[in-house]
Amino acid sequence: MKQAIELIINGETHDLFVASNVTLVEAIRDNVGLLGTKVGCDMGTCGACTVLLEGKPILSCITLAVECNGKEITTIEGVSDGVTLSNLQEAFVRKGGVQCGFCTPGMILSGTALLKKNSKPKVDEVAKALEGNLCRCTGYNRIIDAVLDASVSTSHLQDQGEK
Amino acid sequence: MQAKIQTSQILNLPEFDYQTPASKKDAVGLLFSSGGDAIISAGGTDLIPNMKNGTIKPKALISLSRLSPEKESITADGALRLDALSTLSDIAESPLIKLKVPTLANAAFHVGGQQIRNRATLGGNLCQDTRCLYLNQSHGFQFVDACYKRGGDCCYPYPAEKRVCRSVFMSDTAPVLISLGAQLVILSNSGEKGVDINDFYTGDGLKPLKLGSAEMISAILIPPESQKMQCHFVKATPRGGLEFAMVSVAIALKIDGPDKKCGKARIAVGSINTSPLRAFKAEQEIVGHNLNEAIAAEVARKVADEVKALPHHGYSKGYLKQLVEVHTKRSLTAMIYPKEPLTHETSD
Repeated sequence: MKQAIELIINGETHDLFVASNVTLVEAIRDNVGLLGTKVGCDMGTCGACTVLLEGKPILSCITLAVECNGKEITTIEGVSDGVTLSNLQEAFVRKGGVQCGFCTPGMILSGTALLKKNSKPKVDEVAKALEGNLCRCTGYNRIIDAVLDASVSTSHLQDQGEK
Repeated sequence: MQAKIQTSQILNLPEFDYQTPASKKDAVGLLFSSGGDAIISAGGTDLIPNMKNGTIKPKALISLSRLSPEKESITADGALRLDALSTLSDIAESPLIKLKVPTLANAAFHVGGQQIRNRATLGGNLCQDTRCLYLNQSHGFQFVDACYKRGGDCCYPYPAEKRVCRSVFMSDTAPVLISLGAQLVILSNSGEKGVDINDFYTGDGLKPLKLGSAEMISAILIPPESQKMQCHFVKATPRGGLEFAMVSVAIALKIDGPDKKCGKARIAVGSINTSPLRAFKAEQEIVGHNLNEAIAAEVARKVADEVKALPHHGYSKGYLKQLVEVHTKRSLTAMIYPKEPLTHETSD
């Protein structure tokens, strides 16, 4: 049984016609064609499919597309403007937080949501925020370094803006 | 034109009817008229993976995605009322819950990762399905014969027993709510009824909840006297994040006076059996005593003797029993001797 839904992905409205058993990540990848969101375990364990639903990180492989009707979704494609990288993405490059890259979109989105809520997180707060994202390459240290580095540069920019 | 690619689906979600009622009352109405073929989906973080690996096969999904939870509040008689639809993030971050029952906020904060907590609800956490290393295997295991719980005729961990399922109930919030003496408000077509959370779990792995096919948890009430008790929750995991517990221990104690006399006690242990277990006998042992380290050690041993651990996820019975004892002892000690807050800054 298919139904018409509207997903607002990265600020752009997409009208889709999907079956009720289509997950959000399938809609994003197969129907909309944004392939930045990855599917790792497809069971809600690894966090590779993380997207922001109304600003909060969720797992798009265990969320039904029909349940997101009319809601705002941010994928990795919406984090930067497509030309310049976001602050956190630059920090990942600078600190070597990327190896194979499969977990990176999810890591960036979880990290982005954390920095929005808490601009100067401590190490254990970063680790807690990223606990739902598995990485089998980096051993997490460089990823955590990258988020901390981005938080320093973000708050530095904010401090300058305030002056 | 977008090329038709189907790369995203690794596991197939079977087809189902999908309904989005506008109220909880409509939801139980739909549940009633479905005659047991439908299932309620709140956050779906337990249900959707179970549907993907074929443990649950509902014909229809009644999604509560259109409903927003009521804010937690104190009722006229002083009880803390929590909407079952509150997400675990809501529970973990709520200032009122952190103030009144910090152990519940703590338990909610230790469920899954933040992506799970943003979707999963308190009601859903209490109604999650039991887990077993064989039952919840997603990939290769689906090609062997189904076990009792999957509708088949065998059990891999307990081959000698007939039609018994010893899958483990792994909710983190359930033992905490048991230690807090919570009441569940159950909604059905005939209205609301209150159920003591002690009576909510059957202990049968095949059907772990005492919940009718047309009923749902609507709210959770925490009585005023529990809000004044000292509480502690510990979840033992191998890595410390994004995991189900090996063992979880939730304790609530009423400690009176300078000699630390225990007036009331509730001790619940989760993730070691088909339902969360309460150590009734050990509780009676501790009430009336002046608490100290020796009593903590003795009671911890009694709790470990009383609650029966089933080996699960590779942990042996003996190891789990020891974990219960160690964590109960540490929890009791931490409650009897709370850490003094640092009053002065160190200078050198």
